[in-house]
Amino acid sequence: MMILQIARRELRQMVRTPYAWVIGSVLLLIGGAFYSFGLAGYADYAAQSAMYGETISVVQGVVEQFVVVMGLLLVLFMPVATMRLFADEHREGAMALLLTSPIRSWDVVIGKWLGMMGFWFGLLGAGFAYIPGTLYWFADPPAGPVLAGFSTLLLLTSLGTAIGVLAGSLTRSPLIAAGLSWGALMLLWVASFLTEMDGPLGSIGRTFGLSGHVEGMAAGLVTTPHLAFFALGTLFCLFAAQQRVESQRWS
Amino acid sequence: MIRADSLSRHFGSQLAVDSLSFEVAEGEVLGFLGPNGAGKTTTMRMLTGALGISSGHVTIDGHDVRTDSLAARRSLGYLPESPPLYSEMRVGDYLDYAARLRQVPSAARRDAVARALGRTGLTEAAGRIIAHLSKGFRQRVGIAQALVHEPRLLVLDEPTSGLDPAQMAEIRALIEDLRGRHTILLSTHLLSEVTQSCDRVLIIAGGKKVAEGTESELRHALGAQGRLRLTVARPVDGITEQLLETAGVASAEALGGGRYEVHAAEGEDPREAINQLLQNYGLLESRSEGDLEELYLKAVSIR
Repeated sequence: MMILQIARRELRQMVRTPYAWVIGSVLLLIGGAFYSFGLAGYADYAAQSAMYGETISVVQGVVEQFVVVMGLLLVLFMPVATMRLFADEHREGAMALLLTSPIRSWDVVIGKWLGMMGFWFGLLGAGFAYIPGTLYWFADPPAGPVLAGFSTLLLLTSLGTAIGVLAGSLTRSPLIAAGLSWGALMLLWVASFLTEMDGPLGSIGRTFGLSGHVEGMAAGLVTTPHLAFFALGTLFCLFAAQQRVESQRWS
Repeated sequence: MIRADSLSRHFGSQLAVDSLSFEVAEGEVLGFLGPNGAGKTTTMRMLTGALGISSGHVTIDGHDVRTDSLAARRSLGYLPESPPLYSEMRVGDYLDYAARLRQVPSAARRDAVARALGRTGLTEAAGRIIAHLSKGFRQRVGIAQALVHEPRLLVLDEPTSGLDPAQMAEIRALIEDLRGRHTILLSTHLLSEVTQSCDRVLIIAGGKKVAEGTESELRHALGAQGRLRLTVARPVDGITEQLLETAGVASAEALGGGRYEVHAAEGEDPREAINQLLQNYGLLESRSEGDLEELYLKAVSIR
């Protein structure tokens, strides 16, 4: 299957680049530190709250905040990770290899997206594998909200990577590609600030506000609007990227 | 193998290729000749599916490039002017990837890569990183990726461009080795490459076909009779008469100063006989005025 062949090359290439290791290390370090501090803080806070008869769940106290902070970190780092998705082909003229091989432009676009998703899945899955274990060691949270929290990160990387694929297909420059996807992600992130406004602006904020969707999912609210936002956003960007790759035959 | 019918390509208001029609037979090596900017690369990109076609039709091995694009692309291997490489990959890994993209079955892939490496003289370089290779070797890798899936058609866009003379000779020898196993469309602006490597020539200029055929067909079509300019060190009376008596000579004229002009009879090539004759008089120069260079310049200027 051609998608898997392209995904395989992208993933292998990604893990060979130094910046993939830098991005991975920084994300795991900051995420790990934040989680550790959050867990320690939660233990103190939970003990104090108990004295006053209040309770706060470990999902609220740790998972939710961890996912939101990791979400913001991913928004900052994903554009750097995805900026070279088409840059190699543009720099070396290797696009001709893809365009003249018996493969469809969908194979190219989805293959690149899937390869990068493999990187995120491996990084977040392996790098934060200790989190569920420690959570269940210190507390006994319900599985659903915890799973929803960590699924948020995968949905976010799905959308961010699709935006990166689209940005990469639009320009030959990796720096411009990074700038475009960073700009798009930040715009979506801050769109949530419009949520409290009345009228169409508030509606835009609720529909397209990335941080609102991340916070909602992190809180365990796996609702259709949240899922649809990530799924449709990913599909739209991949479709646009496929159209762009196909249009290169006409430029 | 290739059938192009009224092929055209616009870039905005500019017409890069204008109603180009030609055919390439199975097993043939066709030289695609033209000055820079003539539309050679644009035509090749359209043939290979890398570039869309504004109007006209192309079939590769019976498959329409537009409506049956994947099947058409399965039949061809393409070396663009700049080899489509991933510099950070190793040669063997890159060819393995190219074989996967060309849907070589997994059981046959290792052999296909080894065969492509062997045919392009890259076996020893299989483990080397492409970025560390010389330009000649990179060109070989480009050719290897084009033939790794044993396509029936090879489209090579200026395969010797930018190489030094030794590297050019190596690549030409490689193309010679590929003759007979593949149909080859070879684009170049070097006349020597066409005479050495091609069965037939198609000359384009300004996006239009200006001449097509074998060297002798072109000579005939362009009205260029074989004309020889000769210079001898020891001119004596009677040389003109001896030239006239030589088989294949239609006319001979002394120009003075030991210089002679000879016209060959139609379809005849008396150069070898004339060279033998004039050895006795100290032949200094024998220049064929009806050679490919003259035909090419004439064809391009006709436009």
